[in-house]
Amino acid sequence: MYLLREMLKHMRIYGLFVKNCLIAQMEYRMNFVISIAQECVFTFAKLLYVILIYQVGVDINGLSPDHVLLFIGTYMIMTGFYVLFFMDNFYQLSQHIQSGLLDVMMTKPVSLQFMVTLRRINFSFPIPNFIVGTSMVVMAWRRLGLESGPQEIGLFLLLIVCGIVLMYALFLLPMLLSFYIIKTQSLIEITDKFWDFNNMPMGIYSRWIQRIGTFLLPIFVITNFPVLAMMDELDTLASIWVFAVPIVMLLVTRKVWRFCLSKYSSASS
Amino acid sequence: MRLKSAGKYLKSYGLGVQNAMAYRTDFWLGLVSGVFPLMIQLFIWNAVYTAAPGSEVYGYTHDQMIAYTIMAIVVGRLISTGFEYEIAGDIKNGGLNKFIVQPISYFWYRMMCFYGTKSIQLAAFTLLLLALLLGFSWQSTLSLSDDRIVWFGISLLFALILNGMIFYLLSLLAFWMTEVWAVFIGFNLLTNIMSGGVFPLDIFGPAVNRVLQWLPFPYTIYFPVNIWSGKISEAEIGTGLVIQAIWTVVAALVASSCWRYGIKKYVAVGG
Amino acid sequence: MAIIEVDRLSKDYTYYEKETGLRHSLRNLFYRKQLIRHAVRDVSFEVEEGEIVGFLGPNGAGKTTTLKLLSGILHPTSGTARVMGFTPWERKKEYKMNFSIVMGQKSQLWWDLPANESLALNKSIYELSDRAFQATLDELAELLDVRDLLSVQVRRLSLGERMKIELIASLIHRPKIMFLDEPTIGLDLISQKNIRQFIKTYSKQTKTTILLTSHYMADIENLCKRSVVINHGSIVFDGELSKMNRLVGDRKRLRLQFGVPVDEVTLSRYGRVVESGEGQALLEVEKQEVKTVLQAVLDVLPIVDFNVEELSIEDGLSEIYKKERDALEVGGQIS
Repeated sequence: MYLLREMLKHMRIYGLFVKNCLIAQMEYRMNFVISIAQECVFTFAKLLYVILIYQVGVDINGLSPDHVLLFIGTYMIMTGFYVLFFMDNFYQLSQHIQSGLLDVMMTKPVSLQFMVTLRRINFSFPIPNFIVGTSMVVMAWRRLGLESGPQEIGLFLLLIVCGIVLMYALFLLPMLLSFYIIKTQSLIEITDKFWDFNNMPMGIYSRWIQRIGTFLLPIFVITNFPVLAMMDELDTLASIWVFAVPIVMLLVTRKVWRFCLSKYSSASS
Repeated sequence: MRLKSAGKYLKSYGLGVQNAMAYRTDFWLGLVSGVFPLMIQLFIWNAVYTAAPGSEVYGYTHDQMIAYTIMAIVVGRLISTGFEYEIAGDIKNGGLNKFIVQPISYFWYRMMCFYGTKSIQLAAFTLLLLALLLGFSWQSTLSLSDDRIVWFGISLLFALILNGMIFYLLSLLAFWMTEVWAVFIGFNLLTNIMSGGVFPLDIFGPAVNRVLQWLPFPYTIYFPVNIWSGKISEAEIGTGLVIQAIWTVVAALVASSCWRYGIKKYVAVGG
Repeated sequence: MAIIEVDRLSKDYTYYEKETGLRHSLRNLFYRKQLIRHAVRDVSFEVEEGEIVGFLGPNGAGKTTTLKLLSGILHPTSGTARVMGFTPWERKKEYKMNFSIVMGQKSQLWWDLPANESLALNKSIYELSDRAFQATLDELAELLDVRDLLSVQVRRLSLGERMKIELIASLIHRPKIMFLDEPTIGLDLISQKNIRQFIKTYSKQTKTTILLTSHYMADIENLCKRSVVINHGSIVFDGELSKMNRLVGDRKRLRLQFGVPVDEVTLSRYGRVVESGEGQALLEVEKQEVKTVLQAVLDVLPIVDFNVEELSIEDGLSEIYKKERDALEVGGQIS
């Protein structure tokens, strides 16, 4: 009962975050437009891989260009969710620690991790990602003649949601170093580049990279597994893993967050 | 730039050198973060060359393509600027004032500083390259002749100067626009793509390529890298160098007239 | 029972010795000398409900650290504190619902939004009913005279206006205890006065317990009956501010004006010379000696005019700080 009430409260607050961010971003319309244009360039950079694959026109490691299109489309949609929900928050973490906003939020009767890591929602960046990504997925889906009953689409969306949760936990983790280092610019750049491994289906990488990206730093689970599920290529272990790993990572991140915070509380002044 | 005033620009150059030393971790981390896209692309090309029936893709042999991929990322790093943010900051926050008052040219100050930073990075890169050449006998696999290395070096220097000029020109946008940050980031990536920094320009097909050849961008990465990869014939090298020089002069002329308009506006507004 | 009980609270933190220069920075890569700083040491005090207590002390004395400890932002190295029966650093929700902290230069407001929106967010955070929220908001906005500012984008507000909104945001849930860390820092005199006036009226009306730190003596003198002076992390005085001067001895100051300049050596025979020159001087003497000294100087020195002055609180404070520094130099440690 208590838990339910708290959850409702946090959802209501999240609604206010959404509203506040929307108002704030509409206040600066020119910025909004420029941001979309900027993200269009980034989307185009991701599309280069699609252009390349169709230009070469061969099956690579058993994947036709249409398959690759489905993978890259999903990757783009997930990138959209990342910039929508998480990016601004993770980038600003070190700023919040430095400016003391973290201190202020610590005294609020709300989950601190929630307040700090989910406060900002970016509405401009995801637009090109969602438009282009969704069109690619729909196109590839049709060309591959995949089933499109409610069951398939439902499963696909469910796996996307799992991916979003996993993405939150996985990408928050390195940013927690903000508690220890001041300049996080290089860190951000490296994690961003790391994410781009998903720009191609995991099938093109060596076995070892595939294993690392599935079990150790499970980024492939985020964008590859939903597509593999649609292609009916997830074995039993992978099917369990795809639901288990978001929960595992969430617990790990929570633990590390708590650790960093107690360190912060006892080490600073 | 008269001889007498050379001293202060030498000092600017020294500032750039110091800057490169101070931020050397950033430079190396930058190279490290370049390793990820490199790995991705190497895997793609390996997969493509395994699947492709012929031995050549877009006229590149497998080894040439690998050389292209590695060198494109390295050259992209070496010619990248970063001073555009500082210039925009100076224009916005009134940092230009001291340059208007003092007898020093802002353009030369910035450029010498940039060259200073880059000479250190180039030196570090050359050492690294020498080590690789000696250690792995790369040269033999690429059958890279000595004068190709020299031509590559010259074209890289030209590319550096050209790219510096292009981004100097871009940074002047801050005279007319308040939110230039996003523009810089977008332009950076876009020109990197159009310069062949991600994939060889050949993947865009002949029609797009013909258009691109009329722009300065292919001459910053695609041209020097292909001197290295051996895709450009000896005869074409000379023409390419001349085109690099012409674009540098054009960009410089446009920049100087933009500067004159911009500074007028800056003074009128009162910084 | 006291609402705040603090018992031998200490807070140490470690930091690294920083030396400049290339050689040192290279050495620091491998070996860094760790130093310990006692931000707060062995601090004990109690505060009754409805009291306003001011914390005074130079920069880095440990005032802010004490407030952060009491708000649960920091964990102490040792010691205990009970606030409304809670241990602050357990960060219990029930505790958070009943206090608030305002840190002068750290804003909780959303920069690009009208103040209204930030307040609405706090309404949800503190689970307030529409009616309670509206009533408190009306009352506070009236008191602070900011009714028309609520719909203005926060970044367009002046510093003083922003602080008023900040106060509303942190009082909207009617906390029983309020910690104010430098609420008037950077404000102009009029804004300072307004904020001060508000805190005074509000605390009188609501009996809210307030702990306040400030650089400005006027804040403390005006608002707080009781002050706690902290220096080097320890409490050196706790009580009524007007009585503080007794701590440094009951002294008075004689301001003397001479017809002919008198040198310092001659003056120092009569008391401590605080300042001298330009045909005038300021002498400090024990209260009971005022009469004798005055007679003596009137007889001997070419006095044109004189005046007997009380030590101001600032004078007293700097005396305390000085005394401690001397003790530190002699004894190596303060008790």
